[in-house]
Amino acid sequence: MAQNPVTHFLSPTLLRSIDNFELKARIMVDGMYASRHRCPSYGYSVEFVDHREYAPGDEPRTIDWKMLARTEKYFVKRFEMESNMNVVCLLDVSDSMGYKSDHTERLSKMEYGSYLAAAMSYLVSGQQDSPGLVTFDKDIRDFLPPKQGQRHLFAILSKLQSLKAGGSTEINKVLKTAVQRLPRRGILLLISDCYGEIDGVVDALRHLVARGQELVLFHLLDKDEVDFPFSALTAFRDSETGAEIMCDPVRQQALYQKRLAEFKAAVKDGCKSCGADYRFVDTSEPIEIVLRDYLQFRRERGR
Amino acid sequence: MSLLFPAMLAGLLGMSVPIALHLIARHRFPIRPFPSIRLLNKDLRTNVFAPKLVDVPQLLLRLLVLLLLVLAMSRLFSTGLSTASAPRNLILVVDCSAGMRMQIQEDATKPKTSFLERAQTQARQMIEKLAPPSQCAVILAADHARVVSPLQADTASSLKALENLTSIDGPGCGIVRGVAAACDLAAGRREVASQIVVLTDLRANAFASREQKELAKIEQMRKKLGSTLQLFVLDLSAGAELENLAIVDAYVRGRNAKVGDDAHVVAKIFNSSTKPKTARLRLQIGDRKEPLNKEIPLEPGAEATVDMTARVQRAANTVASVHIAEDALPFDDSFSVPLNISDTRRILIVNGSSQNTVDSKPSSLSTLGGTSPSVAPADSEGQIDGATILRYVLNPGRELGAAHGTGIDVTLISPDALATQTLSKYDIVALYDVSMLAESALDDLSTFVSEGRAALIVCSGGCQALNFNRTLAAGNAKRPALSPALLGNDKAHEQPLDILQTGNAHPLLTPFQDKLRGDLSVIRFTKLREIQSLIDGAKVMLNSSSGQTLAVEHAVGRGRVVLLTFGFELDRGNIARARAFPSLIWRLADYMTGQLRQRPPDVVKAMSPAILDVSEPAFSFTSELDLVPESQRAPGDKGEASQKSKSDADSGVIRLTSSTEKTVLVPPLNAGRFVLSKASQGGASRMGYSRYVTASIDPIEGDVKKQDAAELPLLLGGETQVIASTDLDKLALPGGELWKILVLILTVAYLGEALAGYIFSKRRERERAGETAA
Repeated sequence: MAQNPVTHFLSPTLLRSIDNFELKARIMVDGMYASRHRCPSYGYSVEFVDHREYAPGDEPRTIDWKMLARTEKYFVKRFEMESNMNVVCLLDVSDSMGYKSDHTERLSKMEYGSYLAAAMSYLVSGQQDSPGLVTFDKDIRDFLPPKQGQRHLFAILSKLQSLKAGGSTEINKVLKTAVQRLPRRGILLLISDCYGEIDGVVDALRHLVARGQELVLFHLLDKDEVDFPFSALTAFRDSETGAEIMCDPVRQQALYQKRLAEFKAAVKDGCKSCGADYRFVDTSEPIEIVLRDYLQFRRERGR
Repeated sequence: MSLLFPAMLAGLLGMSVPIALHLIARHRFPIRPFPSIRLLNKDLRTNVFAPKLVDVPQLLLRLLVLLLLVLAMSRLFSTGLSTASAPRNLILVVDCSAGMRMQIQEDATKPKTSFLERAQTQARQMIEKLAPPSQCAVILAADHARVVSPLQADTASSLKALENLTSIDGPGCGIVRGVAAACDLAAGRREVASQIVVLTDLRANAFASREQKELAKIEQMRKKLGSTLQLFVLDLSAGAELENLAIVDAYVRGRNAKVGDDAHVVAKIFNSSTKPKTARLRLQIGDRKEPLNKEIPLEPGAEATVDMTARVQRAANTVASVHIAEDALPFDDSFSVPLNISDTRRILIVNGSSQNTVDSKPSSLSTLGGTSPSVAPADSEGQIDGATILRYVLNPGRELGAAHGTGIDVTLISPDALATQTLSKYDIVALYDVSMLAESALDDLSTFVSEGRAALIVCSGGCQALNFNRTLAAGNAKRPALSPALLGNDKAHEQPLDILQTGNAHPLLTPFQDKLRGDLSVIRFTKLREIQSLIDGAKVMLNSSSGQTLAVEHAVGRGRVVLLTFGFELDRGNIARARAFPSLIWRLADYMTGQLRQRPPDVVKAMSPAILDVSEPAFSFTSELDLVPESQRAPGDKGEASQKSKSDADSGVIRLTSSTEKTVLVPPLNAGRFVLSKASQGGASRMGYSRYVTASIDPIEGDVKKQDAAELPLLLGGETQVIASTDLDKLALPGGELWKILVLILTVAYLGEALAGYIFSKRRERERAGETAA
């Protein structure tokens, strides 16, 4: 009997870890509904922004009568419009994300990413924002547009539960396609191992940010990919291309670490250059700690 | 624990093979899906040598299998893990010398047993305790070492060899040879302990033969085999009192005996006991036991020489044996020697100087030292003719009426009576002062000599030279001249003539070089017959110092004729008064009858080859002789009696071939009596002349002096132990081989390794299948 996706992804420990947090948009989002996030549009809110001249058709309740008395001209008050936020998780479900180490207690990258996406979706849904989910490999595989409501959250969780890794990755192309389908500004949580042309990936990220999206990149790698703990002569086979390399892990440990560091640095620099948040995660880290740390980081950054 | 065959540990080198295989196993590299291969460099090496071992558990199992296999082949051995006795090589060296026949009685309730029987019993007990894979061998050590049962696991062959165990008659000095032969056997099977057990009575003689090459071989084996070679000497005589009286030698004095004379058999006895003993000797001539026994007391280690005599009255070729009472070692309690009792020689004296007959007695015996007082010596000196003197001196005992004689029968006749005599019954015809004979007589005499007899011509004063030279010194177409020389006048010499001995190697004079046996230098001749000339082929036997011929000889046919130019009359010299005169005349008689040459005694040592003289005339015309055991002779046959012939192979007849020097090589013989005769042809019986040959066991076998046990480790190696019968149980080595346990563990390990290999391969297949599905 298939486990309930809610209980599958949302363990009490996880929920407890993100209970006191909220995901606030750093940028101004275009929400459909009045919510807590700043909206680039002016609307009705408690925050006065400035005055503008009265134009026929404006509501008389917005006329600033004090200003009239002072200036004998008609001005209306403009207030910041707070709207609900779209938070879309872009989850890489290519073959490389399906890697799972021999450690029986560890999750595969895709599973880990699913847990992250589920947690974020739950958090967003709890704060009356709209979670969405996009899974992709070389193309968009699943597209759940951001919506409010429990039912939508459940649909996201169900989809996450049924994911299977496979296929190759083309992040560049997918991100560009995804942004077309997400016209409203919001937060994009990209969960991927970012294996692909770095320049293309960075270019896609820049493109996303340029469209006004707030981008958070969770660079997810398996612990084995971080430590490269192998010792025996092994033939390593690429999960996506099937290419094999026979090598001596002991002899190549230093080179591997160097290249890994360069890869991480390249991705991080790319994110930084386009103003995206970068968070490196390996699958040995508890998810609740990753989430809490990141949300804490955002809270402190927002003060 | 130890290894019986440590050389097999070299198989451990084979353990490098699976290690190498596990390092090389390229096809068994894991294939791992990995997303980050772009961060890896492809290894450009083409070899597939892995710095680390793969499938270590399987490798360890394989190494364990190899280790157990090597240990099993090295025959791991433990002294404490098995109740069975450890495998060993048991090599028994049994002393088979004649001394092992000594009979010992352990206690009064048990019968006597010989050392050889004890050795058989002990050896049988040791062999019956062996179990495979132990092996055993039996070597007989006497004068030579003989492997009668080679080293093998089947004990039946060794037990059968023990059943047929007999001691030899020869000297048994070959224990060291036996041990060396045992070392050769042990060298072939080094993986187990080798035990050489020498079963001997530990007499010193048994260890007497110590050849350097054998001692070196024993030492070399000691070094090669180390502690796996154990040497034990089982003293079969432990606790027994070894006492023995032995006759170590015997011989006939004078080599022969003469009819009517006493045969003197001289025996040497030896007491090798630790206590004084009295030897009671008894002489036996042929089948006749002499009544007289002699008792000789002997101290421990003392020897005594005893002369035993017996009167012999009949010519015979027989055996004289000396006996003592049988003791523990019976073979040396009697000693046999061949005894040739030579028949009476018959000499016919033809007295040409008088008309004396055979019955007349000499009237001048007192002059020659006789006992009759009535004869006036001075007046009768010139009346005693030389023939009478000759008759007297040839057998003075008989002439004097005494019982003993020289074995010479003398007949004195006149020349006229010669024609009536049957010359063939005589050995020598002596013509004393015979000047002439009838033709018929001369023909008879010539024939007589030609057939191998002898003639003595004494030319004294009465011989007429003219007649002599016309008859006796002249031959014709039918017969050669009888005399070797032409006679001259009888000459008196103012200066008496002596006999020249210096430079004269004639065998007639040989014994007189020792003046104790006769001093010829006192002999003087005042009258001699001159020699005109010598016949062709004649040789001068004796000369005087001044060159006058005293004796001449020549061969006539197969016989010889000797001419003496001096007479025996008292007025012609003092020869008849000389003490050496009888000896000289007897020697002349021996010389003329071919009995000068003394053959060595025909007593040989048992089991030792020997050379016998076969120069007697009876064997002159044959080169093949038969040596027949006395027991194979027909009963009742004695001396020259015919012998029933049997198949030579059945009767043990030994065919001998004489050399040009008239000697034969006799192969090693068992102790006993043998008869030497002409070879029989086909089924013909052996007729004619024969003589005895006796083979006696070497007297050293009768010496029971024991070998010093402390010397044995120096002789045979430092680890040699002298043990008693009660120590035989300690020979079994404790412990056993662990091969059964090892094979069991090996089987389990091998099955485990095979199962592990199967499991590992299946797991790898599953992994590959899983990866492919993923």
